[in-house]
Amino acid sequence: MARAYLVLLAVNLAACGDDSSAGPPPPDEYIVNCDSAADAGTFTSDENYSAFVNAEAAHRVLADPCKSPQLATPTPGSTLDRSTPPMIAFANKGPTCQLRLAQPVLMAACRLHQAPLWRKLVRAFLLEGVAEAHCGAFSGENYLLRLLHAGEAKPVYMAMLSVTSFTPDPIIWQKAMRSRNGQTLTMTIERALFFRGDIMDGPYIQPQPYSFQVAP
Amino acid sequence: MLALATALAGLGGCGDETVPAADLGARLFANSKLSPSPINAFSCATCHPVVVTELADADAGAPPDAGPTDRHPGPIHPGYNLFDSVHRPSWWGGTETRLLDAMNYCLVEFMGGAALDATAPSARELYEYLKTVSPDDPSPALSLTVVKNIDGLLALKAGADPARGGDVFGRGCRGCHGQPHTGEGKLGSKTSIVPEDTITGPVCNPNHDPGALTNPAALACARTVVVEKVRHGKFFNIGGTMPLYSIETLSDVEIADVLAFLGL
Repeated sequence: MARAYLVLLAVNLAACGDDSSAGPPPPDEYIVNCDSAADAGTFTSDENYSAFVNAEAAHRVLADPCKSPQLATPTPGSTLDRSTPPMIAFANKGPTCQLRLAQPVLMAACRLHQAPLWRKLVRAFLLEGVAEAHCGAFSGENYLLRLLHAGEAKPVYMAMLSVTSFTPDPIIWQKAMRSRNGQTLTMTIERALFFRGDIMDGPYIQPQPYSFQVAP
Repeated sequence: MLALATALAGLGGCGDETVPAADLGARLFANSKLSPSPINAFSCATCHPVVVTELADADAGAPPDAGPTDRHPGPIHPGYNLFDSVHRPSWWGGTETRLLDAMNYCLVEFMGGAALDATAPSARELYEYLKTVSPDDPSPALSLTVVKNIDGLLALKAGADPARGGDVFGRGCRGCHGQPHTGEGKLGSKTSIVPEDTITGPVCNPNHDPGALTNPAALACARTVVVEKVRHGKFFNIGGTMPLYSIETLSDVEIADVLAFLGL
């Protein structure tokens, strides 16, 4: 036999990583989730959530007052009702950044240009995609919204979004707000531009979170 | 070779002594915490064996038309053997010409991590480890053929052998996906149970048909999806974190056998 295997290293026998199933908590809602999206081009997914989580773990989230989402409603500093969820609406970024709409696209193109040849080749193929085991690699903007209470690692409420205006599900909201009466909560919204499943720009977040009071 | 084996036998050394960088690298190689991602379950060793061979090209896997009996009896990995990898002129089928870039490609694309700088201690430690298992300088580059069109494989249903497929599944798929049909022992919570998750998932069962597991259309869809995942991994607009199996690492016949084993 031409190929004689002389030594099988122990590292080969232990050829798996560990189970990190504990992981971060999943979002309470995906709006609009990929498997229910009417528009196949705009959706969010657990894959995109993972990309945010990985970016956070790698300290790649950038505090930028212009490139991060700008909350419109509810008004920062206002009181949140515990039984009726508010309509949450935001601009995807600050008004001065809105004037440079081409910037993210240019940045993505620039990064693609700088990418290793292998990546460029793979992307150059961009095949027919006969079928997808997941919802497909996403291109576009997604947002990760969290309501947090100081001192708690797990968000009070968390949503992955492909939209900039939505109202949380009342049942999920009421469950999240249970026993939160009178508490001060902060809201963070991260924005990231995806290109075929990878974050190409961002995530961006406001330097200071928005603050709210939960009704007694 | 004996010296190499002896050196590697001491990988578990601890205590107050200074630990050689290569030893730290060996630990990192098998540690998913190389990536800061809290979701990642992969380590380098998940996809790459380090098998000392007489011939440096033995890690290229079986020839494209080979069946399981023609290859070595051990695990089938999507990534190449990293024995003698340091002094190759290129990696990733010739598309990466710096070892660090090749390592970072895996770290970013599959492990959800951030690219390591050349000065990062972990990069240095991994390099030192790989150097200890790379005695030949130079060593040859290895080809990597990405299968573009899967139609030919899908047509290989007739002669497929489920028994051989079970063997291939056990050596090539079970390490990450766990036991077929149950997922017992799978790597991480996000890894799919095959083939059930594929058949009943949103792609092959968009209407949430409770009878999808016996629905010919869903089964045919799952067959295509499994082939797509194996041949294209996360690439080609497919998503996920699964690496691809090139023609050098897994033959079309072997994949067809796995499909037969899974009842697809």
